Amino acid sequence: MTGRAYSLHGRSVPKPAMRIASGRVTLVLGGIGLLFVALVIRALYLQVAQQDFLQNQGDARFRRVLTLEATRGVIADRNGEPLAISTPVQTIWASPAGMGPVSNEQVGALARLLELSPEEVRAKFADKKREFVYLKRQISPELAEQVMALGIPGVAKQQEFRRYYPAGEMLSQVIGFTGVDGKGQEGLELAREKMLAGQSGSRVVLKDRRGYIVEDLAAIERPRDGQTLTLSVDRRLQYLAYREVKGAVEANKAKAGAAVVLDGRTGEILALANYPSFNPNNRMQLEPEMRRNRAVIDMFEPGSTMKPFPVAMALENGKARPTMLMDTNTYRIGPATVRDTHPKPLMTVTEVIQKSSNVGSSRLALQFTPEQMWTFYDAAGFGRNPHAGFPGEVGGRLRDWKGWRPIEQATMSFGYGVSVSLLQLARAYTVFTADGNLLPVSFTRISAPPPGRPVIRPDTARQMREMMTTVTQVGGTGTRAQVLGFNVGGKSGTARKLVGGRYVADKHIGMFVGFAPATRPRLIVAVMVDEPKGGSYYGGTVAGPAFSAIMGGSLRVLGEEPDNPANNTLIPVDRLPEVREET
Amino acid sequence: MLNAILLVVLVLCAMSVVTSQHMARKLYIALEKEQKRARAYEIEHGQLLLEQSTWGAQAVIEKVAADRLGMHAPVPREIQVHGVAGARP
Repeated sequence: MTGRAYSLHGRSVPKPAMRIASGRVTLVLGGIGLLFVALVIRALYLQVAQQDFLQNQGDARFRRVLTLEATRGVIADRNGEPLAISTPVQTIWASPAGMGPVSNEQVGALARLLELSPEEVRAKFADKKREFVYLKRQISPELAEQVMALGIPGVAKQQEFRRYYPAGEMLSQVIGFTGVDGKGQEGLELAREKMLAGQSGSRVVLKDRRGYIVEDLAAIERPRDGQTLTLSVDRRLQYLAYREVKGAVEANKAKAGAAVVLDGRTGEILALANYPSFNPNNRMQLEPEMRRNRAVIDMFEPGSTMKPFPVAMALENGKARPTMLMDTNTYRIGPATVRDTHPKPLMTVTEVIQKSSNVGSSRLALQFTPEQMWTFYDAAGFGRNPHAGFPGEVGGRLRDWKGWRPIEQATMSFGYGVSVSLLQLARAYTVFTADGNLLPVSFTRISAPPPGRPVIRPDTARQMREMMTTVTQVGGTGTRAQVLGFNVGGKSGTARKLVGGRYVADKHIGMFVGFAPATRPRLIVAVMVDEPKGGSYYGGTVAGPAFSAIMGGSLRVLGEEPDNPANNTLIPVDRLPEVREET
Repeated sequence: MLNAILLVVLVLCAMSVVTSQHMARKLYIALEKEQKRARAYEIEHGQLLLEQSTWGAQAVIEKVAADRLGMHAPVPREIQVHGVAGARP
């Protein structure tokens, strides 16, 4: 306060500025100082102690880690035709938590496009706590555009991949399918999951307010796309096999059927068809019966298709020759009798195969000890897993020779008492087509023919092929399996089925396994018809026509040169009596 | 005098830094665009493969050949097989 002081002299002098009480100043300054210190401490605290938290918050506003999805590998046939391929589809989702009220007509339009009822759509929007709910998964991009054009806030689309199977029901059990999450669930999609799935990558980016990517913050981890799986299957042969198996099952009113086509020189599986089958693109009603890959996972007793093996064993060890005569009268082993339905007192070894004689094959087999016979069968792949690469494939059953009784050794020579899968049976016939070697079977295309394991000499294999060619000629049990222009060798089989441990007379499996051209075999085809009920149940009759169509068509597709061009007339099978084989 | 020159140099450097960063951002955006196109082409390739195999499916062709064109595979009576002269037996 500046006032004028009045001194004793009477003159006014300006009073010196009033001095503020120093206590108050100190107090105020001290208070400000303290506040300042507090500010500094807070700043230090934020910078040092809370740095991570605040940095994270900052990143959360702009920094994003994007997953780069890997494309699932294509499954292709041996010629590069796609059998399983992923294609992008759209998924519509909504975020109810941030949505305002939606008008009834918008809900109606949305429901109409997505083929849902308006009540269902409302129900999905109702739960306001959820931030993410699927409205419709895997719809076409065009439909997704229409949905987005409605402009309902809170509804968005997302790209997903969906697997398509161009081969449809032809090869469905072998390829299998993926689940909704894109992982293989069955078949080769499951067995080769790691190879097909690849590995997803990631990017760390900075996004601006509008969502555009502005900068990469770290090195991009590129995704590793899944590799292409090239199968050994030929789509054209597969179509043929499936069509014929389906036809055979329907014509014979059978329960099921299967066929395998193998390359006789490399062991590659060129076709593998099962019926009943399903469409993997539309798995709405899927029964377990349709999903079974019967040719690989179902076991059955092979019946007469086994007979070439004891004969080969006898030939290999010098105990028989193709023209050797044999006593084929009914005989007994202990309490059991081994008989042929159409007995002949004398047959050549060739006729044993042509007419399919139980007596003949068992007499040849009984010349060996159980151990010798077991070793031969084991060498031919019976009782061993074929390791083709399919999940759940079976190795059949070949009991330890120590437990064999003579009658069992006899029945095993004509295919009872041992179990095989159709793939195993087809594979065993590579012994006859690959110069005596048993080849490994493969679902994937191979570049060089595999070495194989020697079972019989090449000469024995040639003799066996010649003997088996008589089966498809007049007098044989497989005349329906003949193919115009080619020599076809093979063996028919009709096996009674076991029900509850007993053989029943009204359930059979009709089979035919063969190869062509018999002089230089290119293909092995094995056809099996389960429980034919349309009249005849013999393998030559029910499986023979399917075999002929598959073999003939396949050889023509592959451009194989006919090895018997003089054979221009088919045996009129409809006018000849059926040569019934022994069951 | 020296100060003036250095100032000019400094300004030039600063402007070149700004320009480089701007060019880098533009190129980056162009790269993103091209990569997106490449991905779209790959996807389209897959879709076309799928379409081709669907139209070329044996079942479809057989149906078209039988229904629309009235064709059938020759029956054995219509086939005559000839060997190549001098071929192996």
